[in-house]
Amino acid sequence: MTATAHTPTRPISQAGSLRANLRLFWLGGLISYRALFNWARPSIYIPTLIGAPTFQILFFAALGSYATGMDAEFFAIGNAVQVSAMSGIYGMTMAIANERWFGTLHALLATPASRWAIFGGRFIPFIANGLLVSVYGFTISWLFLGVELRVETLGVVALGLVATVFSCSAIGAVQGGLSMRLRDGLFGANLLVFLFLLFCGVNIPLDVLPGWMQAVSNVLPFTHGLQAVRAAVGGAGLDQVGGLIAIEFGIGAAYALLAFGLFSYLERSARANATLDVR
Amino acid sequence: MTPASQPEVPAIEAIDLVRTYRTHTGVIRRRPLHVEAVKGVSFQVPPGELFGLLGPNGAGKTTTIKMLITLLLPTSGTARVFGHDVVKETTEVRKRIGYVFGGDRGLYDRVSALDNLRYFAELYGVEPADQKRRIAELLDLVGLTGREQEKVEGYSRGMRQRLHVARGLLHDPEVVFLDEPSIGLDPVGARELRVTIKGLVEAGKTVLLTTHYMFEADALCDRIAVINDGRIVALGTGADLKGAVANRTIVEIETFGVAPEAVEALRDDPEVIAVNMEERDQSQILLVQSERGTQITQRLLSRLGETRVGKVVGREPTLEDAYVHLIATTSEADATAARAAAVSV
Amino acid sequence: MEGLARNTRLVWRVWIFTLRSFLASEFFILTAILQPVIFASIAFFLFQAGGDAAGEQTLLYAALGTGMMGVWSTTLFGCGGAIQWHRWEGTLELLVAAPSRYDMVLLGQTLGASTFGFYSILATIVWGMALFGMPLNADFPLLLPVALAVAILSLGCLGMLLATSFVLYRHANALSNLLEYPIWIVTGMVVPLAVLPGWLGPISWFLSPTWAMEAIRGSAIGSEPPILAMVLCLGLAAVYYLMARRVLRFVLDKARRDATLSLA
Repeated sequence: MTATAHTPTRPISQAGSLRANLRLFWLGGLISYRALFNWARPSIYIPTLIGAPTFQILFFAALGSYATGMDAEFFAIGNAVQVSAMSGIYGMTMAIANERWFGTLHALLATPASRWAIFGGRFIPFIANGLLVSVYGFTISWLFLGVELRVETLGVVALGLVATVFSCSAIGAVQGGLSMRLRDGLFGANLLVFLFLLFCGVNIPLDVLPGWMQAVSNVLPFTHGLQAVRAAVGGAGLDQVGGLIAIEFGIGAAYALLAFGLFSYLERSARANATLDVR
Repeated sequence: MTPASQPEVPAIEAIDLVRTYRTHTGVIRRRPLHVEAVKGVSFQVPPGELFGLLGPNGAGKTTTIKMLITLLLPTSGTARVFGHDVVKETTEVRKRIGYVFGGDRGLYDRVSALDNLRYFAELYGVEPADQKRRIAELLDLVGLTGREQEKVEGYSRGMRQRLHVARGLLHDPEVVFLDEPSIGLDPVGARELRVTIKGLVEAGKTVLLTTHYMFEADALCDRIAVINDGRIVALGTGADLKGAVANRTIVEIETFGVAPEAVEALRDDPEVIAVNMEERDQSQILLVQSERGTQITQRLLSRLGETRVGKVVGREPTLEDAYVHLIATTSEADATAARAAAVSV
Repeated sequence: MEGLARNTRLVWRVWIFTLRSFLASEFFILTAILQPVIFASIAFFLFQAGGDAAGEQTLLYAALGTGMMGVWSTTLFGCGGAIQWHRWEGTLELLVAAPSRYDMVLLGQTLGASTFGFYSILATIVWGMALFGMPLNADFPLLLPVALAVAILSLGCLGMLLATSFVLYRHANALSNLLEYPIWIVTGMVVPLAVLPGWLGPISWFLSPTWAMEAIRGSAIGSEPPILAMVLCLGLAAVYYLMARRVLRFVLDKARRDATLSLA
């Protein structure tokens, strides 16, 4: 054939370097947020992430206080925190499962990019989004249900919120991974969101629930972080609720690891069994 | 310059690649099934070559390509890109290859073309300082400059295809794999794509192209491998492949409602090598391969009997005829016999 | 008369077809059964925690209320989803262009959606009986199926009115998400209107689910037969149907003028 001796040049791809990974994490995460989050348009965002949470808080505040005679504040706080699941669960599921919908998954996996950077980067926009929804939820609770937040407690409340939204997004990532294989990803996502309303002390005080339900709640997101947030709103300081917040972060980390394990398994299995292209 | 005797590392190397799938048949009683999609494919592509992989649907083209680009693990056998094993040095391989596939899917519809390219630039680890320039160059190359801010969901099929090409070249890969890139493109778009592909090779890249458009393979490729039923049944330049049918003439007979018995009668003729039929709207075209072609036209027509006949044309065999011949003769052939019969360079 | 017979047959066919397609959909199993059952559990726990007021009747009240919430969810998502799904499949244009009256097709679809909601009430009652010890006895057992039928009919018509507006709006599903909780609140399904702000009352009178809930509740745990509620329910159903037809004609013209029928 041709006589030119071709010495392979160094590829210009710097994939795998720290800088490339960080850029992929932050910038790539942001681009994929816009590309994959079905609700990123105002015409959908407003009804779904602002409208629906508003009425959810009002509904449970009304139901809870009517049925139990307790103060509406309990239910308002519980739901103000829970509505972050709209982003953490639905958002993360879409961010992952929609790759299959658009047929971009195999283009993505053919690149040399670090899988940690790709999927890790998707957390950040959704955590931010979830925080935003919760902050909005607290605003509604303050406006209509008289929930007062004292300035001194804001820091602890915020920390508890971050921990909770993180662990919620982490279980959302697990759900996203599962939905790569199952036919309807949003089914599991919807189910999870409803179950959070039942467990986790969001609407029903934990001690009212039977033992097994308390046990399940303790391994789900929200439970510990929510307790911390409730206590903080009531005036507790970091020394009192720090332990709960740490547990919540720990639960989130465990789910995040589970998610990555799941993605690695799915990718390996797809390479071995060619399951990538099934819609 | 180093002399040509210096051994150079092949750009792509496939050694006895085998890929089987485990699947099931039946709904009530599921029986496990072993499907052998690729049964032992071997070839080498030197750097700078435009290599074509031709074959009918289901022959194993896409499976082979996916093994080469690290998306599928071979059941057995080895593949290397510039010496890097696709299974053991996956990241090194991925840094050096670009993957372009056809069709409507595979792009993020909701964001702009520019965002798609930016995202993949990050995925390929293109230096931030280079990204803007690279993206601009590629948009220019594929003719999308000025339209990059539009959302991909509004793109036509041709524009999507061009964006696929741009995406596959972001990190300036040395080897570019194109999987049926001109599917669904109109003739103008397809021709522009071919010009772009030729340009890539002229720039020193190695290109592996799968297609089932014969004229495209004939026009573009330096060498062609024909794959059928999971095996390579021919490997060589276009001229080599046509050599198998070079001493033949094709007589094209246009008929209106030809009966199967008449076609059989044609096949029975001792000098007829093969008869293939193409269906048109109201007519059929019989492609009769023989060595003496137009000299036996009268006999052929008489064998057709009462059949209404239109145009009769004699011509040289094309790559398509060679291909059809290869596929027909190798589809039922014994495995080892097919390998022995493969023409190689 | 021939037109009436034909239209009735059309509505019936579409009704059955829609019902069957819901049965095959995981999403609707979720909406019609899992969601109401989970909400019923929440309601049961809350009422039980409330202590003394949690009599037998309270549990039945909660079961019926959350079951009705499920009927609304199925109707809502069935209607919004029906239009949206047809958009994605590209069949919306085909339906509108077909010679059969599209408003009849739509009515069949929305009735199918609300009928499927019947499973919600069944599910919450069975769940309550099995897991929370809720006894089942209706004060006016013969009226209960009538009340259910009236409820389904009137919700179907309300769904039709909603669906007509969804034809224009590209993201009907998003609006469906928005309308779930507010209707639950305003129609007093699990929280009586008496304890809610007074200005909600008049709004609730114009929504048929309010009267449907009254009718069903009244048949099960009421002191007198809820005849007025049923009559109002049917009356509103007729009003919704006529409004829907009017709006649909306007909406289809606009969609054809603005070329939005085929957009997904």
